Amino acid sequence: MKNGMEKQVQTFIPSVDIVETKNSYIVKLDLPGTSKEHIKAQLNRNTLIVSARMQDYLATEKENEQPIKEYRREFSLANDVDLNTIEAQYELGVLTITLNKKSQSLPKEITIS
Amino acid sequence: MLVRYQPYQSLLEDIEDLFATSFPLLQPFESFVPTYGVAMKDSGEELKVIVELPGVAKENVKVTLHDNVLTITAERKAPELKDGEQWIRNEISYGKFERTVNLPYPVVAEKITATHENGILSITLPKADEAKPKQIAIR
Repeated sequence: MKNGMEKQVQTFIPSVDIVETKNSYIVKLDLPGTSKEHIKAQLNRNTLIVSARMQDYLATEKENEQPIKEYRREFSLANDVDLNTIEAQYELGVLTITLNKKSQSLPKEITIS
Repeated sequence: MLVRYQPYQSLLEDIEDLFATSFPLLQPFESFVPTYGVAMKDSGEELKVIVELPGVAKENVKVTLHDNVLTITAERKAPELKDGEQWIRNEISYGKFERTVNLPYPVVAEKITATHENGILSITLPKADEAKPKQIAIR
């Protein structure tokens, strides 16, 4: 594989679910066949870029160094997302990103005196 | 999960709707079960079958072998939205999935192993002796 015959990396757009809750946005991305170490989540101003490399699980051990798939997806974050408290978790091939809303943009109840 | 291009999906749904409204007692297209792609690899001694099943818990996957046909069933539970929660986007499909694979040669049923890791179901099926490659001595 080293002699100029490198496998081409294919880029895939993962499917995404987004649920809005009272305090946050929960983003789920299907990224089967990768691992925590191979997932990259970058924040560039208010754009969140998620990319992951997937190992070729069909290759034999010896050939297993070349990734064959790459996942990539970008998200433009709304102004109410608190960029400092983004959390992510990878489980069962699904990456869950929690984007908390800024506390000042949460609905407030106003007491009437 | 990667979404495959399904050019006839909406047509099938239209036909299904037509049947459902025209013949309420007769619904042959009612139980469409989505299917996923599988990958198969022959490594000489064994056969490997791989399916992408992201978000499916191990206890919701079932693999059976009958008459050299491998059947994989899985269920991906849809998330239940609580009060005050709403969908912004829903591209992931949920529900039951079934896939059958005709094995190209006999395997040793007792020695089949399966792992489910990072959303990938990987089934290793050792070949039966008669299906293994044989070295032929040249005299």
